Amino acid sequence: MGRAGKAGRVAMDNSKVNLSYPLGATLKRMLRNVAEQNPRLFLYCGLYTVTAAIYPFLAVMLPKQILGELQKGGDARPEAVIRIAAGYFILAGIIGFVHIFLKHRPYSKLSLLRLDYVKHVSVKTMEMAYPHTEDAAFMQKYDKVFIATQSNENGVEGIYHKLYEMPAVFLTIAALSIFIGRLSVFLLAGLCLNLAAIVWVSGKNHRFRYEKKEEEAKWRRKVNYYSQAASDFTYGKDIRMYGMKERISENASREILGYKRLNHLLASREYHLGFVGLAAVLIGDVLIYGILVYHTINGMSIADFSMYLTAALTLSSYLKQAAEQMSFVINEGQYVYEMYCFLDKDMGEKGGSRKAIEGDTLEIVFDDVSFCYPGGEKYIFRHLNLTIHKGERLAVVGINGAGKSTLVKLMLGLFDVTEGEIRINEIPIHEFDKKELFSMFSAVFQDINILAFTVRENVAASLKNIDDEQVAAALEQAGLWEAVEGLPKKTEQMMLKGIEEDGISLSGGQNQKLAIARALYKDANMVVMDEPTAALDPLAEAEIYENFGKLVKGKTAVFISHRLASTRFCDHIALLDEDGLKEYGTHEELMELGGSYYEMFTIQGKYYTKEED
Amino acid sequence: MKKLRLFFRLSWETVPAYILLLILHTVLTGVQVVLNVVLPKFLVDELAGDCNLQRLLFFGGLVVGANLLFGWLGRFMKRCMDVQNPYVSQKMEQLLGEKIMRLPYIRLEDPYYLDLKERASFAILNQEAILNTITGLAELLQKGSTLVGLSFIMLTLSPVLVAALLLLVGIMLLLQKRLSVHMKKIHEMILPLNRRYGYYVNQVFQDKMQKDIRLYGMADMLGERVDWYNRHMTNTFDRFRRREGFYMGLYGVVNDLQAAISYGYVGLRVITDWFGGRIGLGAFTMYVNAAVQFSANITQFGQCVIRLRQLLGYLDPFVELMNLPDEQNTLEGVEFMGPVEQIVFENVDFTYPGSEKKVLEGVSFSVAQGEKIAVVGLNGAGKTTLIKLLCRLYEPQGGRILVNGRDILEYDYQSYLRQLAAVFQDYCLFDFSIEENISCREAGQDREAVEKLIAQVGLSDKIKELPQGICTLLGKAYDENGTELSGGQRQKVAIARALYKDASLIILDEPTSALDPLAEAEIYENFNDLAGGKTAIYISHRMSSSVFCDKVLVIDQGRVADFAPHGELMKKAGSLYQRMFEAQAGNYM
Repeated sequence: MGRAGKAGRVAMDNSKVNLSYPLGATLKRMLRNVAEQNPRLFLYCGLYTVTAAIYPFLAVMLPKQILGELQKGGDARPEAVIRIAAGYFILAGIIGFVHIFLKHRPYSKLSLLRLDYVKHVSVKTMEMAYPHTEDAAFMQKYDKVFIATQSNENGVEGIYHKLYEMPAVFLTIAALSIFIGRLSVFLLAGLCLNLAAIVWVSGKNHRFRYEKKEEEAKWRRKVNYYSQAASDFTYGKDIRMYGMKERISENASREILGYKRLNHLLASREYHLGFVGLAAVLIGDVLIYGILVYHTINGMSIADFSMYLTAALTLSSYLKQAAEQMSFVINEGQYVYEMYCFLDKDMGEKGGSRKAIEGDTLEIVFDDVSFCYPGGEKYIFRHLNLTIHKGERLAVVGINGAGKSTLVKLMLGLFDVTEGEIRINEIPIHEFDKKELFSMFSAVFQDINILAFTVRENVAASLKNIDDEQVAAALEQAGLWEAVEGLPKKTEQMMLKGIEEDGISLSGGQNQKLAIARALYKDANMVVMDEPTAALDPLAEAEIYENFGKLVKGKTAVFISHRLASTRFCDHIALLDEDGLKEYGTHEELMELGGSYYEMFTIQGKYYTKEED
Repeated sequence: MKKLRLFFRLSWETVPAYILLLILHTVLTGVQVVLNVVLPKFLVDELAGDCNLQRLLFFGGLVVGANLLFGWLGRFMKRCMDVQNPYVSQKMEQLLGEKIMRLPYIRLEDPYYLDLKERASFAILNQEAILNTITGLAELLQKGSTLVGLSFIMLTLSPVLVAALLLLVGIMLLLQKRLSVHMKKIHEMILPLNRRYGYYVNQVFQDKMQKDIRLYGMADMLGERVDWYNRHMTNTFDRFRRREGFYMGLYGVVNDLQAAISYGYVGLRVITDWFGGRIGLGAFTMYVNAAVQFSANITQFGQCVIRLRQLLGYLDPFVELMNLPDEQNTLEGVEFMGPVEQIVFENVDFTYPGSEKKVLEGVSFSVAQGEKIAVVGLNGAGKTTLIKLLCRLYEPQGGRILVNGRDILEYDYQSYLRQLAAVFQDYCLFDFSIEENISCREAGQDREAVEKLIAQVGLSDKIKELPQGICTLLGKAYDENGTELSGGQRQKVAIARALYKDASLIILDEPTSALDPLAEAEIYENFNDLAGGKTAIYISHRMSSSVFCDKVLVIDQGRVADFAPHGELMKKAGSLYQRMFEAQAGNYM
């Protein structure tokens, strides 16, 4: 999400790396979520755990049984060998089948747990207070939240998969440990040493990587920028016209090398730490083989030697697996924790508690309002006083950067004022519940957003409780009904090409009308139009101007444009410049005043009126 | 095969040392497996036999030492891979980007190629197909060399066992194959679903959506749609997972059967001479290990082949894209020396590829050097298409476009393009410094000219506000400290860029739509000065702009409706031009 902001400051906040977070509470909440969403998963997990824990023991017992028989020398019976092998096959076959089946079976059910969080996070993002969306640092600040739900392998889903498998691993470890521990505690100690080294090393690595995360993100962003600029088809014309190909390629190579250097630093550090792990492997191996050989020399059978060796190797690989799983859960848990924090946090979505005003249009009073964007220094308004009366049509004009759109954002409650107060029908704007507040405005903005939904869903901005008569009326009034009638599926027509099947795209002017139909359908207390005709041809523009009266139907209306023509159908004109509200009055009054409005109007109209002279 | 060749060439050019290292590593890993099979035999034989302490120490040391050595090797390789894998991915993405920049422009407007590009970059980014192919091939090599070693050991014991194991492997591969056929089907089903799902989730983060989402409470409808897809995709996958569980379970059963047969058979060889001469306990350990490893490796080998085939399938779009012919790069045709002295459209027809509707039909007009031409018409009349044809971004299907008396298609493309400067409706600025965006070359070479242009388009005040002046980076995508300019300011930069370019024809497509009246008037009034003797063509919805042009070209539904100076056109009452002009002028009476 774009716009200038306080990138620098946020980057500093993030540099305080905080590794400690409530792991237990996070996991508990994750499990509680399973209990709520799909408790059957616990059943799957239980069955899986039992079968998966038994299975490795069969592989440990098989060589022992066979070797035991073989060691009988002359007394060894071939039938016994065959019986053992067959018995193994039957047992391992059944238990193996069940545990493998249960391992794969619930995969997509676990995925759904993640996808549900994708939805929750998306809805939260769409409902959080608007200023976050203009904060350039937002994505950076909350990147963990979004990473948490991004893939099957990491974050929420990664942890769920691990949690599903972990009980079996731990059960196996416990059983094998007792089994081996009864032979020799030292052997067990050797394996544990190995494990401790792995955990220590991976913890160190993780911390180091975490510290470099910002830097990594920075490089990645730079690399991504160039690869996207190169492969984005919309850049194609300008790249060719202005010969940018070589520069983009060279810069991309440079950034890729920079990223590689950072990766090299990270990998080298990991590599060097790895020697600690190697030392532990050495000690562990010496202990295992030493102790087993020692016991065998002192009378333990080869069958037992073989069995314990297999058991020790199995245990060692299970311990490693457990360590990886645990550190995975600890590391990824952080992302999940951040996600929960985001979901719980008050992102300003609620606002006050007042309900929308019903059955009346609005009066809006700007009382000594000053405003500068969060984190910015430049005041857009200082001590602005302006009243938009009930039923009045106000045109807001001014040069680029005068703050026309900012005025709208304040009025709609998208941003809060820095000083002063805005009142709607005498009620301070911040007392309104945000959703209720938004429900009072029918707004059309310069960017027209037609979504891949059907026409009627686009007009109603909803999937449910659509009043089809209202939809038809709104389309009629916006002058789009005929065009919609001509579509293959009429109001059920899917919009946008290339997304859903059979989607179609309308022309720019028709899209604009669809946006207006959306505003009409909403039929809110007040109408706001922010540069709605910038991309339209003169006839389409004139049509919208003509329809403005129908649209407004006596409601308070604000029309923002840098086309002064819009002022002709408005009652009052507010001219903004860099210092705030400069001129206010009717068209005639301002023309008489001979100030900025007069100047702009004459300049813009100069070439049109010349003809009449 | 062609695919593999392209693939080898690309990866070899990118990371030759890494490829060599991977090969070396695979061979060594093969050795490790064989060693792990053979070494314990000596240890067990010694334990079952004399228990000579010295020899026990020696063999034990070998086992431990080998583990240590290969442990180190693994870590060493991990370091290389951690560095090289992302590098390879990024390099491949870069290659893809470079290729796209070299493609003939016409392809970039074709939805088929947009889709192709998306599939190609999905393959290399999300599926990491290239990287996985490299490591997959390395793995294949490793399994292959391990198998050769193990085969030697196994064959010394019994070809019959080998044959039995191979039979079971065949069954396993069959299972695998069936599963992968099913998986491919699911994959094809899920891909379009995923793309649509991505669209809806992306809307949540679109800057321009945010106001509408809040004002119209669209969170619910988008949330519901996301939810619907969540469930739909889960259901699709769920069927696959059940089947996968079943096949993989059977697979495990066959695996268990292999172990049982190996243990049973080798065990019988120790105590009976039913299948040949008896063997010792050490040999038992070795052969059993070898058999288990043999079946494991051969199945992995098979899986590897299947996966590689699948990966190469993923790479199809990438290969297709990389094999498209480039835009002509060398001098081809007549070199255009400029300047543009005359432009003639002769009966030009044009239809967009894949569409039936003629966008331009029988368009004829001519422009002389230094003339300023306004092109007007309703939305969708074909104005922008006209410009694209003139820039040779498309080729007309009928008629000709002549510049200086020669069909523009006969000119060398690069030299032709040098004489043109355009500000397109959907122009893009790059996240370079402002100076570089205007000069389109390294900073500092021609600062004065850039500064002069900045003053002329009315950007000086804004630039003065910026801490680093014209060295300020644009945009925040590349550098978070970059500056975002407003739409109007960006347009001014784009105009300055077009003016800076030493071209004799300048084309502006709606250059002032985001400018306020004062800035717009300033640009219009200065334009004759700014453009100097250059020929200029521009499209605008501001009818006032056509007043000070030499001639106005009125396009109506793909045809030339009129081509005359403003004054003359206004005399034709009821004409499209007159109606359009009045519609706007009426507001200023």
